[in-house]
Amino acid sequence: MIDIEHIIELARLYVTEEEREKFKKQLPEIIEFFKNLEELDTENILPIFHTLGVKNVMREDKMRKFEDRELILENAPEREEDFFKVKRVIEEI
Amino acid sequence: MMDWEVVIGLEVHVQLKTKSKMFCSCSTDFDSLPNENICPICTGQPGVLPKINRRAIELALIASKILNCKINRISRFARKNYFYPDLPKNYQISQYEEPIGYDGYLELPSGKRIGIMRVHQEEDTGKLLHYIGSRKLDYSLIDFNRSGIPLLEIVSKPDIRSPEEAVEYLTFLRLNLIYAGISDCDMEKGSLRCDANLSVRRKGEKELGVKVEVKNMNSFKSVKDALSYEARRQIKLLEKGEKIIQETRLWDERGGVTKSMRRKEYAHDYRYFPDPDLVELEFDEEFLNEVFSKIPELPLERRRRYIDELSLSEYEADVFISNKEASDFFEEVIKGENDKSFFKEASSWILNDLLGILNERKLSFNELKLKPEHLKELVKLKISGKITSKIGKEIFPVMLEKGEFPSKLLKELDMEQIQDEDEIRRICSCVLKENQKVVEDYKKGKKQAIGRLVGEVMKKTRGRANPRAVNEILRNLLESSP
Ligand SMILES: [Zn+2]
Repeated sequence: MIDIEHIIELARLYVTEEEREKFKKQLPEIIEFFKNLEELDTENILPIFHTLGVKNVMREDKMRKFEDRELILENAPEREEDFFKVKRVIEEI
Repeated sequence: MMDWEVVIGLEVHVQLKTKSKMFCSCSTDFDSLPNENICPICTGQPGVLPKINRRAIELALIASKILNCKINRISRFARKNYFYPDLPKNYQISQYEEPIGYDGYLELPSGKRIGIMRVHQEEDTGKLLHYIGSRKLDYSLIDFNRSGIPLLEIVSKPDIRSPEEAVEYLTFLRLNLIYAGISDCDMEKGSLRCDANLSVRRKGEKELGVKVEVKNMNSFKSVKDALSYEARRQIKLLEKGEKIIQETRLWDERGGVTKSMRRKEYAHDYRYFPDPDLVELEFDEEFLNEVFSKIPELPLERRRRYIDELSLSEYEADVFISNKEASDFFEEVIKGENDKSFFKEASSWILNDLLGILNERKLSFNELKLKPEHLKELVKLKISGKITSKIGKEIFPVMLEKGEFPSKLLKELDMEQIQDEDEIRRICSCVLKENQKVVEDYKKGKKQAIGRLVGEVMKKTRGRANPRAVNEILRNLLESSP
């Protein structure tokens, strides 16, 4: 059973009442469609995560300063001096 | 209280000692201005690609090895999805099914083994600020300097049986990580953080009780206090016939209690999946051997060497082990030496003289003007009899202050040993003349009276004579005169 409300909440989407009703029907249909894959026999097949066959891509531990940090800060939805400013997050007790 | 058993598992996060972040080249420097060390990758800009820091992986492998873990030959990164303003990508790159290490243990000095469930690599989040100075903000500020700094998560099995044992485990784990060069493990700077899972059960019960997660413990003392409180709270509830709710509680340091965290948790729905931006890591024998060949001496190995090879006492070895800076300083002082009296003397200067002064002045070893080679020379002068203990104690504070070799300071302060034997003989004769009574005692067979005479000579020379030489000269003079 798909809990559409939970999925909407997790995705942080704004969904109207009308859309909710629509998705409640559509989403299970989509999932059902994917179930077609279960017909395949994958008994002795290991899962793969990439098709490239590339492994061990690493970089050396070298520090390099990014020169345009001002550009990042400028693009903050809101900023205060050199901080990003967001709505108050309550994590106190 | 007596009928209950406390069951604790700890989740420790340590910041790995790297120069750059986990997936980008930004600095990991702690003392930076707000948002000084940020780039498109660690602020989660669209279209950027993470690139794995090799050193971080090596350190994670070393940690797994010293915690006796099995190593996953193929290791992968996964995305842990959740929304929080300190997490710019809305997912944290972590590991899920294939952590670097799993199923190991840490053997405590007491001999008890605490199981290690897993050791995995992940990245830190940004830091949220709710205050400016003491002013509480009605919004929050974010500093992303910490975002993307490599972290290691070390999850213990629920093998810990008391808050005290939790601290013992933490203390020893920390020491091992510091010695292996994995992390600074400085709780004040946040490079070591600890959360706990705690449950209680009646003694003899096989099933585990309902566990509560305890967070927000900022020192080893608060770990002990928080876990003691939480154990008592759970036992009290169960004795009243009530139930424990599985939840996250925060330690309130000031109030001395744990409090239920009211933040809504979607938490345990992280929807982990393999990160498509990062390809897998496959460690072959050769790579692992090379990494493991670089593991430095660990605390218990060093302790054994100090006792078995250097003949230090267990007490001395323990003090050194718990203070790596002191121990490393000692290592420098004794480099190239192989005389046991040298080790003993050097250890005594550091443990009995230096540590007290450092504590008193709140200094660390690297702020010290005194260098290991200065102390090395002092120890040599002392054991070769070129200076007395008294002169040593006098010159040591000057060495600390000036940061100079003792030989140089002794010369400057006219405290050098009198090398001229005629000079000493002259002073000895003088002392004999002035102490006729003692000389007579000696001649009547009271041989120990010579000690008083040696003392007088030392006084006259302000300790600058070699007492052994003085003793010999005095004896010669006494025996040769009628
Ligand atoms: Zn960065």
